[in-house]
Amino acid sequence: MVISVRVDDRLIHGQVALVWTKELNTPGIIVANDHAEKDDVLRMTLQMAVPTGKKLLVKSVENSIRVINDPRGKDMRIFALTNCVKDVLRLVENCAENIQSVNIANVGRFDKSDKSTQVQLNSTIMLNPEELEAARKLVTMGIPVYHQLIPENKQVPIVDLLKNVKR
Amino acid sequence: MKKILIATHGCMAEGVKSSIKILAGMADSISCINAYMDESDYTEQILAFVDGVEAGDSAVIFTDLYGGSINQRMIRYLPKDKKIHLITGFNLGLVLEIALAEETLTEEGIDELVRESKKQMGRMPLPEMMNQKTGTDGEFFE
Repeated sequence: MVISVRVDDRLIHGQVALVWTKELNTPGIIVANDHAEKDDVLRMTLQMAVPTGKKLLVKSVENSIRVINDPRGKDMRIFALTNCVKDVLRLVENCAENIQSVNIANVGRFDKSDKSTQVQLNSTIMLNPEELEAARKLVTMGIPVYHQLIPENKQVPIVDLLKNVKR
Repeated sequence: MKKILIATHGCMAEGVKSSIKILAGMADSISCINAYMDESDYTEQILAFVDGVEAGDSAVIFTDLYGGSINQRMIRYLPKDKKIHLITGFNLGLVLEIALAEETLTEEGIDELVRESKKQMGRMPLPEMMNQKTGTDGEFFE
């Protein structure tokens, strides 16, 4: 069972590796990213960021869907990561019963799209039109979708942040 | 509660606290001594921290250099009637681990965190590391 999917354009980094895996008590970590599955350097640096005793899988989004729906993972607490909203939407659409929540933390900073087309939901969430559309769909999927950088921050529902978007 | 003091030559202590704040928040539980930035005697700050430690607290002091004057001074002023753990030569990973650890820190628990954190310092053996394989689905679900 995926306890939480975090959308973070840095995927696994210091904050995520130590702080969140501890907070969520998740022995399994899945990085769902098409590029990462093929990129040796990225895979190695992700593996380095994983705390001792935690297991990592790096998979394309399609393969992640298969892993998340694997019956062997039913009783395992899993933390998943994507680096964009579009990818997490695909996970939620295809693994409805096996994902409990989505945390949109950091997104859009390293996005190659034209910055003038992005809408900023807060200081760490910048969405291009495609991402905005995905976010709007995601909040209708029936699971909690929120923003929370570190555990001591309050969870802010993404649907509230989207209300202010004029476009 | 957990109480942490970081004491270093210059502003490293404040810098470490700033890093912890970005990574994990919890800035309230960390005190700093940025020693030798002016002529003042930081012994007062050591005593203030020590006085603030109450029975039932888990208190940890980090100093930067094993043989440094700050570590020497800490040893001198550590009270015998209170359990305060003193760790020297820390790295950021260790401070983070201690900050995130369970409220009750034992000597064994701290030693284990120190052992793990020591592994994080070292030359990166590139490019050999590139050949490491990430786990398979089977291993993941074991």
